[in-house]
Amino acid sequence: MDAENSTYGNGSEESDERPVELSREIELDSGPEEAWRALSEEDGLAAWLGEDVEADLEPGGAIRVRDGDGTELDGFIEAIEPERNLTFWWSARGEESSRVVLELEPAVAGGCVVRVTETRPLRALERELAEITGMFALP
Amino acid sequence: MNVDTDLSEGSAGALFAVLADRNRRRIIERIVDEGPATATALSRELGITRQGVAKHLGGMAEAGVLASTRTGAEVHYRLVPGALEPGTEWLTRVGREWDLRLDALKRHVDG
Repeated sequence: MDAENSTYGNGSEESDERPVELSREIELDSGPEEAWRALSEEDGLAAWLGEDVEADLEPGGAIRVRDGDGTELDGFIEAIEPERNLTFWWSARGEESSRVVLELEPAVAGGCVVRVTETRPLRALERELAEITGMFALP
Repeated sequence: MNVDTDLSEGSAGALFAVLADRNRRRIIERIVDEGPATATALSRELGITRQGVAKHLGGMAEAGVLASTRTGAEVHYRLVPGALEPGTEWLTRVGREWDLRLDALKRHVDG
């Protein structure tokens, strides 16, 4: 990630950085093949990711999601690996981009697990950590 | 997760520990959405034991995330302004969004 021009943090890899990372998972009774259709097709995504989804599902392709509350999230596809993962970046207007990784794993009894991890770019993370640690005056 | 050890007072880590537990997230979300609440009301609404709620509330009050006000026999817990800003506010909001989306995904695929 591009840390150039960053005025926050000391740049040390070893510092006590707590990544701002959100992770959730859900177990599906359906197998990876069925679940993948809901991740890899525009209509499939539109059924659950937002009210309205436009996506060009290939690396570099654009993705636009309109959320239930009217928020529009714009971004692009980073990677797509059949029945394994879909990775994209998105952001609401004027907000920091975040990276979303949706992973698919086969589970016992023919089902599968869908795991989502959403993280924010390094620069925002550094700024937030500075604010949090500053607020609490950690040594 | 043990509230007593994870929510040590005044550390940045305490804020993340608060939201690492699903029931604590639910308590925070309920208070964020609908305002101050008593342990009894939270226990009833969220289906968590009264004892469990009391333990979480105590831990989060010690961590400086929640503050309490006694009115007669009732103790209301409210969010301390700014306590969850900025990173954890994002975690709460985005986490809730994904909870809804993944539920919708399950309904769509399995339904």
